Amino acid sequence: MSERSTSNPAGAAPARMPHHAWSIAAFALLVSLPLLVSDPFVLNMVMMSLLSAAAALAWNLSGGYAGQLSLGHAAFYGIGAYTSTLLFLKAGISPLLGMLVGAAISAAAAIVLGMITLRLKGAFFVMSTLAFGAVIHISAINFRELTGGSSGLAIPLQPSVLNLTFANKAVYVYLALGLMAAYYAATLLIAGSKLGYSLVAFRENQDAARALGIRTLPIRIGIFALSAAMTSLCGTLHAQYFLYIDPDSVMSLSLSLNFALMAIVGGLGTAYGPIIGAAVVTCVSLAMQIYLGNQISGLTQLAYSAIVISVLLAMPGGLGPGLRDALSRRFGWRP
Amino acid sequence: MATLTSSGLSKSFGGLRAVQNVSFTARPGRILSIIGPNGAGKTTVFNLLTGFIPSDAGTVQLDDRSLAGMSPEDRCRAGLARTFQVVQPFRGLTVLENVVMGAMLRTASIAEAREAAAAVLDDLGMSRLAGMRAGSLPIGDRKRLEMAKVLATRPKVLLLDEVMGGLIPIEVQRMIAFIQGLRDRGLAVVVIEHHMNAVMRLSDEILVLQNGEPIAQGSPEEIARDPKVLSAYLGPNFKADGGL
Repeated sequence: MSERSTSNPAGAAPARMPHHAWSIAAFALLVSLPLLVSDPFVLNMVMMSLLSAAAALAWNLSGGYAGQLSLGHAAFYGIGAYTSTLLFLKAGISPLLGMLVGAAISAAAAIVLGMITLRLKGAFFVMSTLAFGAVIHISAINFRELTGGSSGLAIPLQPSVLNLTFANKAVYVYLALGLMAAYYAATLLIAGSKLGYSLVAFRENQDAARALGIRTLPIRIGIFALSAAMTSLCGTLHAQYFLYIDPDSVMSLSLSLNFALMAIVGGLGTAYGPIIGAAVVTCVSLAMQIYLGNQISGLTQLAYSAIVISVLLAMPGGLGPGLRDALSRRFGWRP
Repeated sequence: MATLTSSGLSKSFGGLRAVQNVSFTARPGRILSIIGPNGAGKTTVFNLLTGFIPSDAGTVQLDDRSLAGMSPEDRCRAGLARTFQVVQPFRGLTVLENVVMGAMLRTASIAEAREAAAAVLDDLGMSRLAGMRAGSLPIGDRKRLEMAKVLATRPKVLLLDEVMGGLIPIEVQRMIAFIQGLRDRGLAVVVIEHHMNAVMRLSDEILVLQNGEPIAQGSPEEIARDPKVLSAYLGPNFKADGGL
């Protein structure tokens, strides 16, 4: 519990210039990357890393800062993907509008779910999000007339801004980058605000927070809804990038687990952690699929799990804070 | 400043009558102590007053306002603040950040809250600890941090649950002086304390509980002479002026 707070949001308050300089440098590198790289495999890897980073940042607001470990966030991702896609396919509504509708539905679902389950503590909340995720997943498979069931939905390739569809895949990379940058900025903003402090207070010690007059339930439901809406936007972008969705790719439990895992591996409750975690987890898992994929079945997952476990054993606070501490011990340098 | 009035406060846990018919008034600029053997229901009284546990019967009022049905956080907002006997720091945060969590109640700006928190730490002589992690503090400092957090909420009525437990004598002296300072500023203070010499020096009034029931109420001198209190709690050889 105490490990993960080494870089709590409260710590972000005295802003250090070098920290922002690093963010800007990293952002500039990412901006130039799609121009320099033309290899589709690498471009896909960058795209998936950025999209995952955005989703992990969204998850981290509720899961990391507020300590509300949700294992049902894939449902919001799926609601985003399916809402914009269905509105486009059935009613010809632009995904630009559709993604906002999806975000609103996700937020509403999160508020209802949160009002019921956020009164529950720890494991009970985790279990109820797990159940919520399963219900949405199974519903998408079974409501075949609407969702196409397991065979999924394909979005026709009609490139235009209004259709949020582009022939050049690099455009999606920039969209994902923009989304990620916006989520990163939102995280910093929230972490340095009264809202962020209140969430951390609740996470660290519920009774102490209440005794200090911090009203936790409304803000916890609020951050859960915001996190859900943000995840939902990622889902729409996923659908537009692949131009195909099915319940297993946008709503599965393993997707929910991945959001959580990326934030945990990178560093829970930090703004940069989910980005590092998403990059590492996405690249490792894609590389594993390529190099180990078809040789021995299950080897990919095994190697992947081994890497994740080793990282967490070596750096229980996550890669981000872990590397930071290591650098400062070694060189007295804190990036 | 505000007056806290409790009347007929009662609570049972299953067959155990933890608190029965406890009534008192804590007035601005006065210190009321609640004493009694372990298990007498003292901390339960604080939990009932602050709404952490719902009461079975009785009322709690802050001035003319009934606190019935209000959550602990809303009671704190109204000006009724408490410390915990088992200290409840935000372990992973620094001492300053812990106090900021309290100071946020009275300002929307984190920068202002940090200033207010720093001032409270200064008051308690804890400034040099500001950057330390709360989880790494020794017990004496944790007790003072517990105090700093609630003071940062700018309470009108302050409930202190054994803030002197685990302190060394010199720290007890300082804490007594500090609590007297709060009283002189006009706060109503309710103290639960086992440290009898501190209680005798601090209190304007003492309420004695045994098995959840009030058995005596009065000035320190009256309590020190009360035969029921001597046999239930203080012991027949108790002397009020025993030094520290």
